[in-house]
Parts: sequence; structure tokens; C-alpha cells
Amino acid sequence: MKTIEFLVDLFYLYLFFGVVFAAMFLCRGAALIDEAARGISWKTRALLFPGSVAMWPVLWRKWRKTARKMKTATSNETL
Amino acid sequence: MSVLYDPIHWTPHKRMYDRLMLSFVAGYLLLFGVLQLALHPQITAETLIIRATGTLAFLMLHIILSIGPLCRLYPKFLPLLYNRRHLGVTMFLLALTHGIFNLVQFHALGNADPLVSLFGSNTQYGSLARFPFQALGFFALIILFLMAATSHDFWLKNLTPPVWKALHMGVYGAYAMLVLHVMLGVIQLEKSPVLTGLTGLGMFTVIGLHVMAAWKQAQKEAGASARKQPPLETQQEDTLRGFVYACEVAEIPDNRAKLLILEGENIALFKYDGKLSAVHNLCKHQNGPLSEGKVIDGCITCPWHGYQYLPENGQSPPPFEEKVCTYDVQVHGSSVFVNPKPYPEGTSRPPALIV
Repeated sequence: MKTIEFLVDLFYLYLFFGVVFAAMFLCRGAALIDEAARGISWKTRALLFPGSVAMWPVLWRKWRKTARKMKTATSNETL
Repeated sequence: MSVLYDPIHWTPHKRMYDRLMLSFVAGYLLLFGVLQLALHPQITAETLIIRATGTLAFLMLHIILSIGPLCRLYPKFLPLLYNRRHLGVTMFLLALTHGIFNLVQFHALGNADPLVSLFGSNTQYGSLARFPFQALGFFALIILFLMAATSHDFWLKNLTPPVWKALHMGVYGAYAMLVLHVMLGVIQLEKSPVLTGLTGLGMFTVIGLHVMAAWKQAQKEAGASARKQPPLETQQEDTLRGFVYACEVAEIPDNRAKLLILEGENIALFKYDGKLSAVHNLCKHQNGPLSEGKVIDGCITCPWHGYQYLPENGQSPPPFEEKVCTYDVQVHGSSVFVNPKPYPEGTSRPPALIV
């Protein structure tokens, strides 16, 4: 029973992080990783919300990668 | 193929599809409700909802799984494929309703967390006959959720088509778990053989259609790679170095294609406006067979979801960005030759003129 409780808690933790991440991602990150997502409607954001909650580790990685790339490009331009 | 994402890219066909689907859902629920009330007058509203949504979701999953092979066997079923994602999302919502009502009715009334109760109330995980079937339903529901939640084109692009396709192949895993979920549920709780019989019939239909479609595809590919080259003159042999005999011009109908398997390359050879062009056979969207599509308004149009490519360069017309590989084509007399060496995706290649 302890194992089941632990795994269920882990599941809830994953969902909690997912919900927090998805809210931030759909406000800022989505447009950064995908140009076609710039200026998308709130209806579309709502439609993408459940998937963002579920896929948050993948999206987080992609968001960080894109942000790092953009930072490098900006610092190269400054030089 | 949207340039900017819409929640749903509505077309008259999609509206008609959804209307028919929702009428079917409403009709089934009504008929099932009436039958259940007639057979079991004491049934509670919760049990009725659990049974109606569960059986309908399972039936719809069978329909969804049958559409793909049915379209390969009989192309007239293709309109069913165009909007299959709405069918999938509706099926998930029904399965979710079934799951939530089950969780509330059987696991939410005690002290334990509903999910802990779901996994912990029956712990006979080592037994085949007494295996906790509700856990299987939960995991199947998670897979169906992932598929429904990532059905928008945003996910196809950002997860990349191979990952997206692999994720959506999870439907077969979900189906296997749901068959066990239903079978074990029947063994442990029911006495009537009707549900077992219907599940067996459904499984037989789904597996049978997949086997028949795979057999037809194998036959088609065998035909696409077995050709006899006509005799050539020495001059022709020089210009045709690297080329392979494909077929006769007359074998390809106007604005249609012939599937070729040349040195392992899956090629669609299109005839249109007195010209011939060859592109890779698999659509960038969901690997749809372009060779089964048509040339519409000057564009190769995928039979599955209508993605389009220009035959001369394999590029989707602007502003869209999908690209497929192209190949060189030559016509000598009435014979067509294709060089199976692919050019990078979207490379312009002059079409061969039919004299």
C-alpha cells in the first residue's frame, strides 16, 4: 500500500508541475519554440493546455534549448 | 498545415462529419438507456452512465481502429479518415466520463485517496483471473488522454512527425489493455456471455481487417517492384545510366500516380498535364500514401488529410512549408524510367514531357 501511495503522490506531483508549467508555457514559451503559435487565440491555448500539462518535460527541454540558442545568437550579434 | 494555429480548422465536411458522429453518439446513448431501463428497471443513474459511456467508447475505439485498414482495402471509406481525430477526442471524453463515474462511485466514498483505492482495493496483481481490471482501464485512459491532448497540429509539428506517430501508435496498447479490462471485468463481475461474445467479435474484426490490409499492401508493393525492362538502344543506355525502368506511360491514369519500389525507395510517379514527376511516396503529415492521392489544382494531394505538394519540386505551395524528396524521370517512347536516387526534400527537378 505504501508503494501505491508513493506512486500516486508522484503522479499528483507530476500533474502539479505540469499545470504550473503549462500556464507559463502557453503565455510565453509556445510562441518562442514555434513561430506559428505567436498570437494564438485563448481558445487555442485552452486546447493546448492538457497536452502541455502532460508533455511538460519535453516542452521544458525544448523551451530551454530555444532560449539558449536565441541568447547565443544575440550575444554573437553584439560582438 | 495551418500557418497560424486555429482551435479547429472548420470545413463543411468536418461540420457534416461531426453532426453525424454526435447524432450517432446521442442515438446510441438513448437506445442503450431505454434497453437498460427495460431489462434492469432497478438500475441507478450512475450505473447506467458507466455502462452506456463505457460500451460506446469501446465501440467507437473499434470503429477508429477499423477506419485505417478499411480505407486501404476500399478507398471509398477515405472520407471517414479525414476527421478521425474528432472521433478519437469524442471517444476519449466518453471513456473519461466512464472512468470518472467509476472512480466516484467505487473509490471516492472512503477515507483513502480515490486513486490509491483504485490501485489498492484489489492487489491480486499476480493472478490472471483476479487481476485488478480497473487498473488496466486507468492506464488505457492515460494513453487515450495523451492521444487526444496531442491531436492538434501544434503537437505534430513540435513533437516531430515520427515521435507523434509513435505516440499515437499507443492506441494499440490501449486497445489491448481495454480488451483485458472488459474481459476480466466480465469474468469477475458478470455472468452474461453477450459482452464476451461482442468483444471477441470486435477483436476478430479489427485484427482481420488489419491482416487483410497488410496482405493487400504487400501484394501492391510486390507489383510495384516487379517490372520487365524493354530493350534499349546503346544511345538510350548512356542517357539512362542510374535510371530504372518504371512502367509504360499508359499504365498511369491522368492526374494519378503509380507506386514504385525502386532499390528500396518508396516512390510516387505522377502523370499530369502531359508531364511526369516523381516524389517520395510518404506524406510529411502522417505518412499518408501520396501515390493513392490525386493531382488537384496542380498539386499532389494526400488522400488522408489533403496535404498538398507541387509535383516539380515536392514543396507544399507557399505559405506552407512541408517538403518531400524528388526524383529524376525520363520518358523514352512509351516507357518511363526513374532514377531512384532521391534529391534532398523540396529540390526542383524538371518533369519529363510525354511526347
